[in-house]
Amino acid sequence: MPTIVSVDDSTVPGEGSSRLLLLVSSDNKHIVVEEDIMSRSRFISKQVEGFEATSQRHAILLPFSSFVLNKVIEYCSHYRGYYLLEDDPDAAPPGRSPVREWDQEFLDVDRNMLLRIIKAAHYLEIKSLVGSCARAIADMIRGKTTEEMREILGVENDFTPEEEHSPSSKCTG
Amino acid sequence: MARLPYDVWTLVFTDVDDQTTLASCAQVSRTLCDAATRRLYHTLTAKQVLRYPEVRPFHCLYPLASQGLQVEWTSGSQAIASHRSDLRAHVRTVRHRIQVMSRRESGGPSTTDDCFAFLAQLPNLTSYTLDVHTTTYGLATFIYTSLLNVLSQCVKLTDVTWNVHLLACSVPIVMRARPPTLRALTFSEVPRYVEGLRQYLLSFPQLEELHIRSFAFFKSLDLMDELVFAEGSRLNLKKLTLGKHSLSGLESLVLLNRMPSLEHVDIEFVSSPQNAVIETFADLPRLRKLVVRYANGARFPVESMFDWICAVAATSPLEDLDINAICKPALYHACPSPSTLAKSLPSLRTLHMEQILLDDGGFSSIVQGCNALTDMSFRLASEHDYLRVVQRSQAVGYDLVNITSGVPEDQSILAWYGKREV
Repeated sequence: MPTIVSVDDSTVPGEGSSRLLLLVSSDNKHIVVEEDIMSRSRFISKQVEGFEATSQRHAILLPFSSFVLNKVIEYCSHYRGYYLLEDDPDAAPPGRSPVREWDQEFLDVDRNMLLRIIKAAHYLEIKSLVGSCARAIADMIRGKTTEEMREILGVENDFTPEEEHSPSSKCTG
Repeated sequence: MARLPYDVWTLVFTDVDDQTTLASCAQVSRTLCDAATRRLYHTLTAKQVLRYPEVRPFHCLYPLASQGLQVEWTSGSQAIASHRSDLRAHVRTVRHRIQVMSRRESGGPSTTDDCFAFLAQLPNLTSYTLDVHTTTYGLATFIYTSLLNVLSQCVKLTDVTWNVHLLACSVPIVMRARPPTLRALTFSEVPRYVEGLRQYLLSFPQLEELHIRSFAFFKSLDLMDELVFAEGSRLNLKKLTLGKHSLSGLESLVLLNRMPSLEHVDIEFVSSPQNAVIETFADLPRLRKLVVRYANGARFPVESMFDWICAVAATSPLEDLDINAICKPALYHACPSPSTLAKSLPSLRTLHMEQILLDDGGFSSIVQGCNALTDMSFRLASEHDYLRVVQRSQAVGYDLVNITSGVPEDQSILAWYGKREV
């Protein structure tokens, strides 16, 4: 559950054609963004529905840095008003993530940043961004050895020595 | 380093398509092992070498039990066949290729097994494709009967594709087994001796897609009899592909109009529906995509086919239209007139008619009349139109995406246009 704090209506205007939201990042930066831009996020949409039910508007505290949050807002701003199939809750899931040229340039960042963006997008339930990041990560690990993958992804080997030497005894899903 | 949730990894591995990478991923950590394993065994490619007794006359009389089978699994899939039965639940798709060899060619001992039995052990199988090519009579029957019996046990199966070429099957095959959830059925070829096809198809009220690339011999006439002229035989198909058949143009129209639920049609016309009262065969109210292939030549005056396309388009939400000659080159001046076409197709998004000649006026009529059009291809009536068409296209927001020098004898040019992104 996200942490929600009450905010002054003068800080976050709640009326008008372009309503604003106050997002607070983990490094305590306050970012004001138009609600319409963030409507691609199902998490934010659910929060806004909650505000409407209680007639109170709040700031939304998010568990990632302002640097990552700004990247996500940049993505949402770019696709403001666009229909993306992956973000349609009523549409069937498209399977593989579609290739979008702009996304490829947008995600041309270092691997740490990429992993942080996908984590944030997953938290905010922006499926199109999660899909594009997933594709970028898949491109990054394609053809790599197990050791190289551990280094790229920053994942530790948590297999027991017995499991490591006997592939058939590893987890099966 | 960010620690990613399990379902994000699942999504990442959806985009990884080579098994070597997936196998490496499965050895990184426990979380990745779990997610990668699911993907690794999602699609199984099985190649079987069917070693058959020596091929000689009357070999169909040999007992089938004597045939031997060897299964070659692709890398990473070996475990399924041996000691890891727990992995079978991950398999959703099987691509199965059977290579038939005579025992004399292959040599060595062979095992006895049922080449389809493993399918029944995959509880979540949804899609199955079989590729097999044989001229062996008894073997063909064996393949059909065994496979159909096994498929009926796959309770989650929705898509089946048969790339089965049975060149000399002389034994009537009765289609009996009915996977309970089948949604799409594809035949590369309907063999000559499949009996009761209509009855079989009608036993799937939930069937949405039927794709038949080719009919052997006169099978399409039988199908026509059974599907069209039998009382009350209506399928609720959404997608239909009919290729290489022997139905006349009129019979093809009758067949289509028996299925008003169709949304996507890919049909080959072997003759023109010129004697048909076109308006009576334009009842396809849900049609969104139409691919028409026609065998051009003296027997095929295209006018009536175009009349039918316009009549269908006027009563349906048609968005994609592709008109293509099977035997090329065969070029026609715009028929019907581009202005008629534009009036009939207001909701069209893509239009491909590589055998149709348009001048700049025709091009202009279409792009101005079809406001929703984003992609189109056609052939320029003459090189002199090129610059004018380019100018007009730029004025209405189109870019020339690709241009190909066309058929030498008339110097026509194939032009592809795409609407600029807003």
